[in-house]
Amino acid sequence: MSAVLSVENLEIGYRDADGADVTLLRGVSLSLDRGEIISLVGESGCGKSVTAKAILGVLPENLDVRGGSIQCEDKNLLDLEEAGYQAMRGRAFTLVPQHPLSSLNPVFTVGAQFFDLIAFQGRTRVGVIDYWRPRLNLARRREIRERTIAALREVSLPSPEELVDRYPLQLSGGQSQRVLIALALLGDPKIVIADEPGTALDVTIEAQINDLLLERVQARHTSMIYITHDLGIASQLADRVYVMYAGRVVEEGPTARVFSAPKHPYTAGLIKAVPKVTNEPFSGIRGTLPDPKAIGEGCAFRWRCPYVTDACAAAVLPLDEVGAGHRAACIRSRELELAS
Amino acid sequence: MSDKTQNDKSVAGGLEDGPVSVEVSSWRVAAEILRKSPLSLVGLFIVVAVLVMAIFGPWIVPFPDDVGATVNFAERLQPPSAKHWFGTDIVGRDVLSRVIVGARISMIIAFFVIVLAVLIGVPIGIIAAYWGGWLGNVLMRINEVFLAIPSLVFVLAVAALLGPSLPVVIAAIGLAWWTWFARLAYGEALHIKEEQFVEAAQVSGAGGLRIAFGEILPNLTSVLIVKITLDIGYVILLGAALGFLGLGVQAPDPEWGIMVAEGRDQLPDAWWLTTFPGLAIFITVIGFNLLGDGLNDILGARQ
Repeated sequence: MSAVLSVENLEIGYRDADGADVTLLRGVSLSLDRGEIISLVGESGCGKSVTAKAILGVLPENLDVRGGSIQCEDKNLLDLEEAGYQAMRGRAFTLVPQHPLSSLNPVFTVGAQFFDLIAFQGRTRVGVIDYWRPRLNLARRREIRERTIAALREVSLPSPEELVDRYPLQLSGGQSQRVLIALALLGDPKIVIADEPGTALDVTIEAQINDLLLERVQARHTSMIYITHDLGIASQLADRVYVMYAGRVVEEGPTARVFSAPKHPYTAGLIKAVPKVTNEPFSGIRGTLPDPKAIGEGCAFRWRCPYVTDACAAAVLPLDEVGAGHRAACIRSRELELAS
Repeated sequence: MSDKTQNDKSVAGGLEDGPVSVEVSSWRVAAEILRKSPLSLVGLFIVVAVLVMAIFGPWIVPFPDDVGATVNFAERLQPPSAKHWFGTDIVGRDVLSRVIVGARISMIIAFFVIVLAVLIGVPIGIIAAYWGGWLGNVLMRINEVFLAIPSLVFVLAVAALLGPSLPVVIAAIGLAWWTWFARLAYGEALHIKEEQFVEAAQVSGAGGLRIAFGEILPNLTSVLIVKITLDIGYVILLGAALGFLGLGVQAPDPEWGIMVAEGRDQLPDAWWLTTFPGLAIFITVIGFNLLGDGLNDILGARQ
């Protein structure tokens, strides 16, 4: 296989204040091919962002990895030392963050945010003298500025020559996100992880940002993991989707198949919950995500599922092949006729 | 109020086509705040005056020779007059000249103490906050040990141990002062390290030191500026207290604390010997405090 990234059975949890064990990811497996775009979809709290953070190696300190592996460039990232991880970040994989306005350091100009990345990205030990060398070298500074301007131009920012000297406070949300995309692509990464990059923006800007991401990613044959709760966007961007629920992948498959013929009641519910601009009566999924402590064995969706049976609480459900490359974790996936 | 105008401007700045310089709007906000709070303007004026006295003192005083160990018994203990505005001391030296030049020693002490305290305290605070864990615990417990000792007692002990002189005073106060900067930097850095731009730097491959000193430290500048300004006043006060107790700079150097101590014997008759250096301390400390408060408003409004 030409998978650039494969996550196997990733399990992540933490110990809460009372000492009880809380499991956030229950054996998540993903695979990403070269040039492929996959989308992780699901409600807030289903584990999409935790998965992304685990891949990037920036899990909050209180979370620990309980099992599984993340294979990338022939290495298991979970075994990697911090220095080795550092060298991969920005080059092997990178992040387009969720909150563009707060993801740029407010005290530096746009140009300054690019400076160190262009000068030092991929190097682990930069001494104080090395740190100042490009700063004191006028020719190098001009060269870095030119590269910054070129990078800004690549993400279709107007008048990049003026923009390099602006502070993040002076940028709009859409402009900030474009700057962040340029920053993320600077190291020519193999995998771009976009964590709801448009959520903080309004719809028209969000669409522009997604178009830009798609265009940049395809132009470089970069793979992308696009995390979103918006099924509409996932269906437009992704080659394959992973539907996550309560720390588990409940359905995965080619985007068109999953959305036209969902095999898990949760996926079907999500599709129905998308508001439409017609008069169709709104129908969502009742209830909220279960307390991760209460799930135990069995299907985590059983409390909210309209098709629930007694068997649903019995055992862990593996992802079951329901079509070509299409798998779902529902014991009734073969018998149910789910309308999308 | 000013906060809101600032934000509106920034949003407009992002949408306009032309370049909008951030300096212009900050200066405008600063000018606006200074206009609304004349007290910080008074503080600024006092601080500038003290700095001018400290730098140019020996060249602007009416009796430059009186600054040192000269003696002029013919004019001893004269009350304030047109010739000697602040009167003369027990050996006939002009008090005004000595008060003006005295600003220099106070400012030297304040400057080096603050430099020392910032250089020790800020890195320790940031490292403790960013790395946390046992390292952070050890650093902050050491910090608390220093905090637990009253600074005057600590400084007195060090000065008594090493003998009173200017470098000793600076080192002693500096060693007592870094704890405050460490605490401030620790608290601020704890907050800033949770910001999204820190994670963004991390995922683009930045190392720990780069994040601590390249991303977090620059965000501390405004609180540090305010803290430094306010602290200069207190350091001057502590330096004067040491001089007063005979454990700081030694006579005949013109230092406000020593002058107050020397004039104490002549109270209440020769009141000008203690009053004017005392007023100098008082006004200088007030000046730095007013300026610090004003800066707090100005820099606070930027965020």
